[in-house]
Amino acid sequence: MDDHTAWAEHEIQALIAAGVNPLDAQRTVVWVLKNVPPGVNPAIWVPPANNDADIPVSDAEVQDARVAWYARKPKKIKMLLDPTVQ
Amino acid sequence: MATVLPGYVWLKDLNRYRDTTSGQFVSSRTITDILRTQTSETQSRLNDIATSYHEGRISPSSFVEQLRVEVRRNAIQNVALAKGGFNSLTQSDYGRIGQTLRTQYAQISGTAQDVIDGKVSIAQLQNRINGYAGEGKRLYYVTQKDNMRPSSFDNVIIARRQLGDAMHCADCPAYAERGWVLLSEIIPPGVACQCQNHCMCGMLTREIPRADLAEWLGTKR
Repeated sequence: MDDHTAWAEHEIQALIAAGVNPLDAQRTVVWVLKNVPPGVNPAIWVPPANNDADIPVSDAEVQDARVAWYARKPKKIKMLLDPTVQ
Repeated sequence: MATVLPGYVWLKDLNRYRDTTSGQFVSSRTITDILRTQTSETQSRLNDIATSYHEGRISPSSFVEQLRVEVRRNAIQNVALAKGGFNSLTQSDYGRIGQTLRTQYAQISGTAQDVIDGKVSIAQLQNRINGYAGEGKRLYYVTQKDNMRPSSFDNVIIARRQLGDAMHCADCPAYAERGWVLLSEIIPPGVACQCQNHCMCGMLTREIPRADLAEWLGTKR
């Protein structure tokens, strides 16, 4: 694997400076490093659309959306999307 | 144990949330406000990332992935809002969201390349970004339309386009002009209009006795 440590560290800092929370910043950079083709510089790589011909939405993505909702919404509506169903 | 956060009930037959603390229904105005705030907050987050990318401070790969994460969260949350919560989402909803994301992911990759090629100004980029966030709002209305059912056979659900506080495209005023129509006939905001995912309109719904239908259809009360 190419050594992209310097890029990764710089990128995480830049994402945080852009308002991305540190966990998301790290996750995004890890995703890039995992998916960038061998020999390609992650600093200039544009992830192609056809990488995602079949977009999976699963329980994991729903859980991620739920965590983001709780983290960002005011206390009064944090539980709104986890109601008791009657 | 005391509940730390205020809880809610989703009343499936009424398609409404109820606040368990006050015992009152959550008004449609409150839901609309939540949807509006959700959209503007998403726009703000996406614009911060996009501005940083346009100024060369983050890489195209990070721009693409972080935008994908945010539009996915926005879409799932908005569909959940329309369906009565995350646990009410079905495989069909997953499919609907996935289909929307497939288009959006491709658009985001295209936009990343357009910035590299110098084809989009910062203003044009922000306009595209606002559309990505608006797509989640469109999903909310489409899901709401598809899922609302009258609570009894004697009732029927009607809907009406509510023009937003914005300059309108050529289509939306005509939809609003129709007044109350059957839910099955409503064109949700963002669908079949020139403003598409930039549409600022809303959609009102109401359950009425079937016997009163003639008094409502075509009116704007």
